[in-house]
Parts: sequence; C-alpha cells; structure tokens
Amino acid sequence: MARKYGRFAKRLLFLVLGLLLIGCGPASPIQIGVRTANDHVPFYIADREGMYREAGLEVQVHLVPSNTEIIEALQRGDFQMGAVPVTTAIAAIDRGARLRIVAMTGRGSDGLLVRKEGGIARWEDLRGKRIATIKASILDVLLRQALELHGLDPERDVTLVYFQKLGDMVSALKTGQVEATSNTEPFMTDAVRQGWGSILGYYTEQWPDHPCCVVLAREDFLREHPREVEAILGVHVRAVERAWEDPAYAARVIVEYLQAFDPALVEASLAPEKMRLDYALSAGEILRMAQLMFRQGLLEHDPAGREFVDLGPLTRVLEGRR
Amino acid sequence: MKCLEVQGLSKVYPNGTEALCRVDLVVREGEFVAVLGPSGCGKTTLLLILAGLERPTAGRVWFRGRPVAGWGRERTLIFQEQALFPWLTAQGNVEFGLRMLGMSREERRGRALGMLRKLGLEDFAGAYPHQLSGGMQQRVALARALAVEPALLLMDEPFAAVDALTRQELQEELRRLTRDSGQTVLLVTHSVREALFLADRLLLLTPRPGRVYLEVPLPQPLSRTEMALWEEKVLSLLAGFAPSRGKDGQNARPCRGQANARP
Amino acid sequence: MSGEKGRPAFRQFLLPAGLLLLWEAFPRLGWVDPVLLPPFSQVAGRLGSLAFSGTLWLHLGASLGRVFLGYVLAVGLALPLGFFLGLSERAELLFRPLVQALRPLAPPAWIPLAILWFGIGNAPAVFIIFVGTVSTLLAGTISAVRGVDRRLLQAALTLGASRHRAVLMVVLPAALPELLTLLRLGMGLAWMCVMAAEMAAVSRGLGFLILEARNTFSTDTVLAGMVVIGLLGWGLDGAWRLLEGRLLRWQVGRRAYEMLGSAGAFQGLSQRD
Repeated sequence: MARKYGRFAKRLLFLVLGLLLIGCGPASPIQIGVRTANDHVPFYIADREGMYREAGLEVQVHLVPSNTEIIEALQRGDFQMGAVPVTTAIAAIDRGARLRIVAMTGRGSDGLLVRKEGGIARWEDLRGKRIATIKASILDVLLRQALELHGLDPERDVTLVYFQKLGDMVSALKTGQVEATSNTEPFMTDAVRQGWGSILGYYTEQWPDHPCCVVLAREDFLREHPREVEAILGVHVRAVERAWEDPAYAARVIVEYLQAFDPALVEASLAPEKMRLDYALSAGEILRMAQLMFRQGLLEHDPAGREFVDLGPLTRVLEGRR
Repeated sequence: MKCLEVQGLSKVYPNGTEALCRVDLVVREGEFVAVLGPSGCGKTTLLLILAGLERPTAGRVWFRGRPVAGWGRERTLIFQEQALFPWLTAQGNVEFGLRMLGMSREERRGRALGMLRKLGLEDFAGAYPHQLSGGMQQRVALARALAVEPALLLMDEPFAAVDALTRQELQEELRRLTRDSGQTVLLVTHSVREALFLADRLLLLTPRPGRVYLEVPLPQPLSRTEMALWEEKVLSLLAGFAPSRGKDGQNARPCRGQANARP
Repeated sequence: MSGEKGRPAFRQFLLPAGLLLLWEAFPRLGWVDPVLLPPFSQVAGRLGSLAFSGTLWLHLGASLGRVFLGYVLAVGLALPLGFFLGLSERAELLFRPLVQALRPLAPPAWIPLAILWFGIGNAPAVFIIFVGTVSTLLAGTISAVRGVDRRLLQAALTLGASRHRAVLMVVLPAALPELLTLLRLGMGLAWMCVMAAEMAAVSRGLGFLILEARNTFSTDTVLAGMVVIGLLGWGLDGAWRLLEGRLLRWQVGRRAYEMLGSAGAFQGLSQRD
C-alpha cells in the first residue's frame, strides 16, 4: 500500500517541480495592449512583420479602443506592457499603479478643430463658445494650457462640454452643437478634407514636439524580465525607424490594422508638422507634463517626488546600437 | 305592475358554453322572487344580464316597460362575497351610491347613518371592511344597496358565505327590511329553506343550460310546519328534474325549442 | 420589524457592519490589491472631501434633477396610457407588440440615438431615463388595472356610477396599492439608469463623476460615487414606503394579516405550546 503511494507521490513531486521551472521562465507569451490610434503604428508594424519573433520573443499585441481598459489590464496583470497617452500613464502612476514609462511612441497630433464657416479665426474668438473635449485627457490638458496662453479662463470664458469618444465630438462639431473641439489626428485632417473643417492650431505651437503617447511596463515585469523589455524596446525602435523611412507603408499598415480611414488620409495626417513618431524620451518632459496636470488639479500628489519613468532599458538598447 | 319582464333570454359564451336557454320570467312591483337551482345553472349570468352588465345572445329584457340598455342604480346588485370598497369605511361605502346621485354631504351622511342604524351597524360606521366579520360586511353591502332606493334589488346568493347562525339573522333582517319598504327583490339562491323563508314566488331553474321549468307561488307567511312540507315538495321537484329530459318527457337538447313548463 | 424592541434594531446592522470591516481589512492587509479596492476608510475620506468641497452636491443635484424629470415624464405617459390599455382589451392588443419589442432594450442601447436626437446636455440623459422606465411602468399599470376585482367595478356601476366615475373613484383606488409599489420600483429603476444615462454627453452628474473617476483611475472616487448612489436609492425607497404607508392607511392591519411577505412565513409558528 505504502509503496504505491510512494511512487505516486514521487511522480507528483516531479510534475510540480517541472511546472515551477516552466513558470520561472519568461512570461510566455508576453501580452502588450495598445490603443487603436495612429501613433501606435510601430506596434502594428512590429506585429505584422514578425519582428518580435525575429528577436526571439513570443509576444501578443492586443488592440484595445479604450485607454482606461489598457491601464486596468496592466494593473490586473493581463498585460505586461502597454501604449497609452502620456496623461493616462501619469494619472495612473499618480494614483498608485505600479507602472513605469519606458519609451515614447508618438508626439504632437493634437489640436483644435473648428468649422470652416464657424467664424472662429483666432483663439480669442472662442470667448463664450462651447468646446468639446474629453475630461482629463491630453486633449483637455493641452487645451487648457492653450486657452490660458491666449488669455482665456477655461472655466469662465468658454464652456467645456465633456464627451467620451473622439468621433462623437466631431459629430457634435459638425452638427453645430459645439463651436470647437479639442481633437487629434486623423480626425482633424479628415474634417478638413471633407470640406467643412478647419484646424485652428496644433498644440505643438505652444509646446513644440510635446509627448503624446508613451510605452508603459509593469514594475514587476521590468524587475523580473529586463532582457525581454529591452528586446521589445529594440523592436520598437526598429519599427519606428521603419515608419520614418516609409510613411506610405505606415499609413497602409494603420488602415489594415484599424480597418478604418483611407491610406491617403492617414498619410496626410502623418505629416511631420502634425505628428511625429518617436521612441526617445526624456524624464524632464514627462515631469513637465505631470506638473502641468498637477497645476490643473488632475493629480493627487505633487509629481516632484514621484518616479514616472524608467529609462534604463531604452538607454541600454540605444547604447547597444552605437 | 310589471317591474321586470324577460322573454326568451339566452346566453351563449364565445367559447361555446350555453349558460341560459330561453328564460322567461316576470317580476311584479313589490314582489320578492327567489330563483332556485343547482350550482352552475347560469343563475349568476342571469343576474348580470338583468343588471345590464352583460348582454344576452338572444331574448329581451324590459324594466318597467322599457328595454334594458345598460346598468344603473335602479337595478342594484349584491354579490355573494363582499364587493365592498376596501379603501372606504362602512359609512363611506354606504355613501358611495348617494354620491353618485349628487347628494349634498349633509344629506348623504344622514341617510347613510340612518341606513346603517336600520341594520344595527351604527357603531361600526367608521370601520373598514376588513375589520368587519363576514356577516357585518354583507349587512353593509345591503345598506349600501338599499341606500340608493333601487327599483329592483338583485341578490346573488348573498348569504352563502356566512355561517348558519349569521345567515339566519341576515335572512330575518332582509325580510323585515323588504317587507317594510315594499322593495322588489330578485334573489338567487340554492338554499330551499332560504327561498321559502323570504320569497313570494319561487322559480326553479334547470342545470346548465338554465331554463325556468317551474314556477311556484308561495302563500306567505308560512308556518313552521308548512315550510317543512313545502321544503320536501320543492326538494323532490328539484331532484326530479333529470338533466337530459324535459318535463314533457322528450330528450332535452341544448336550447332547441324547449317551451317553459308551467305549474 | 416586529417583535421585541432592542434586539432587532441592532441585528439588522450586523451584516453590513461585518462587510465594512472586511472591506477595510482586506486591502490594508494586502489580501486585495489596494489599487483595485481601496480600503473603506479611504473611500469614506474621499466621500467626505467631495461633500465638503461641494463637488458632490453639484453632481448629485444634476443627477437627481434628471432622474426626477425622466421619471415624471415616464409616469405621465405610462399611467394614463396604462389605464386606458388596461380597461380596453382591443386597444391593448394593438399596443402589445410595440411594448414588448421595446421592453428588452437596455438603457445604454439608446445612447447613440439619444445623442443624435437630443444633442448634448440634459436632454439625452433625461430621455434615456425615460425610456428605461416607461415600458416597465406601462406593463405594470396595465397589470394593476386588470387585477382590480371585477365585482368592485360591477358594484360601482350598479350603484349608479357612470363609466367615467367608476374608473376614477373605484378602479383607481382599487389599483392604488399595486400602483404605488410599481411607482416605487419604477423610481428605483430610474435611479439605476443614472449611470447609463450619464454616459451620454453630460458635464455633471454622479454617473459622470464615476465615469471620470474611472478614467483618471481614482478608484476611491468610483466607490464613493457608488456608495452615494446606493445610499440615495435606499433613501428614496424608504421615503416611498413612508408615502405608501400614509396613502394606504386603510391597508394597515389587513396587509399584515393577509400577506406573508413582510412578516416571514414561519413567524409565530416557531412557538410550541
């Protein structure tokens, strides 16, 4: 009797040990959540061309339409890395999410859209008007900064109307429910091409090359799998450069992955004066964004004391290339 | 003077059930008529038609010489189980019909209380129906109906749901009230004793489809012994009616040319 | 709450108090990630600061206003129409397919249409609350009217009431108990629609507050908002019950005797002589 159990126990032990060993290896496959937005095209390119596999990684890229859901999935551990707007990342880290910003993915691309025949030619014309925006998003933060720079009080001199979706804001502008909308590419160029829209200005005017979307990683993933993070960032850098070389190709990939827009429109919206894909990042600009958010009351804690960024992996990748 | 005249009244429900078959009857002013019959012989349907709440499929009803076109307070209906308005007190219930008549509040109150007093309920005027016993509820129902002084009082087995002792009390009160006021009443019951106690005339109904197959005038008032004799007689008459044959011995088929028998 | 005085009052708070204790302990001990579920004290603190700064009342007022408006509109349509359909078999058959088709559509499904038709601001939110409540109220009213004892109506008619007066003075009071319950539940339903309704383009409201809190990862604000919504729903329900008690005073005594629900089916049977 005892011998039978003995053999069984040994087998069980081996099974458990084996599983543990497997568990100790790289988290496979690695889950990355990115938004369905133009400036995340490096991830689409990397996925499409199998660049992760080439680098020896097993990676699954998930396209998610909601920033909040990406962060929540990162917090739960369903994703190990993600790409979201910088304001979303900062807000999450401020509220205690154990995440770090590790790279950039896009800059620019946000601005103010109005109707061509809306009679708004300058920022000052916005006084007393209704502006559609998404509360606490990068659109909102930069809009408020722009309004203040042009002498308008966002709470008193204009009426901000909050929406949840970019498309709804464009419809609202088109149907005259609002006079302007803080929005992003390619919606803005799309409205212009359709003939009814006009771009009052990009926020890069007040903050040249401002960060837009960033790459995030879970702190524990950074700690336990630093080599994998570096490898993924290496792929990211190569993908960004690929997009720089061939914007038309990048546009086609966007259309293929998002199943929306047409290539000519996307290519037009990728023009350098509108937005710029990038991988390089500085802690200083992230801090600047965080401070702007804090001044606007969007953060709980003073960003000065906080670590939002971990540039270690990216730095090592860039040095390794030299 | 005829209060109510019914000729050839038939009622067939949409699902095919024949409730009544060519009923003929007459009720004279001041008369107390009892309709006797087993359960399910269409007695309730008859009352509903007479009250104007249902329409017959054939036949005609005249009330005081005019054809019946609908419902009205002149033909008031009392049910077996209380249809008192639960949100009104006893007094409120009795006043209801008087409100419909447009009486002033003073007059209403006076009349209602008077009615309740007649039925011995003046102490319960402020009680709600659920606080009263079954017998008292029927008294209130009676008060409510009599308060509007209907020309014809229709009653559908009104005392069937109360205990025997209360039933007797209520029967005595009903007789007293209707004799005093000369109220015309058509009472439906399946208690022979009750019918013999209250009525001037009996109408015996066959089982479904109901027909009046026998009319029995009663020489009221009846003594105790006379009542016992009559009871035997009526019971045997009721039992003697075989559902599948008419009194003339023919096979009775649902409602085809059956003449009403007469004593 | 029947029975002895001191004990039941204390007893009914045992379970919630216990749950609150767990809510405080689990995140603090790390058994639950405090980012996903902040401890109760943190949520309470957030609630306090929202109340103190006035933000809470601003949003609460906006939501309450929309709920009441949507609810009143729904009642205003459902009650008369329900009476009419309840009393007329033919009319009800005509309307039934439409009512049954609209019933299962959950409030969020109406959002795109609401924004399209009503634009931005209060109107689409009110509309969604209206639409989420009206078909339940309508079906319930029809049922309540149909449930009135036919003999009451017959008694009224044979006492000289016209059809019109019979409906107002008999059918209505007779259906009132069921109607009041229905209206109370409808108010709860309207209140539940708040979150969905405020996903439309609004700039204020409890639903908006919670949505925004989620997008800025203030889980404690999300929970605080939910606590407020829950408390308010509870309060509204209690207020309704009080109103019912007053309007239906004639039910007192009758209800307790006839209905097993509130007293518990085995109340009084546990004693053995």
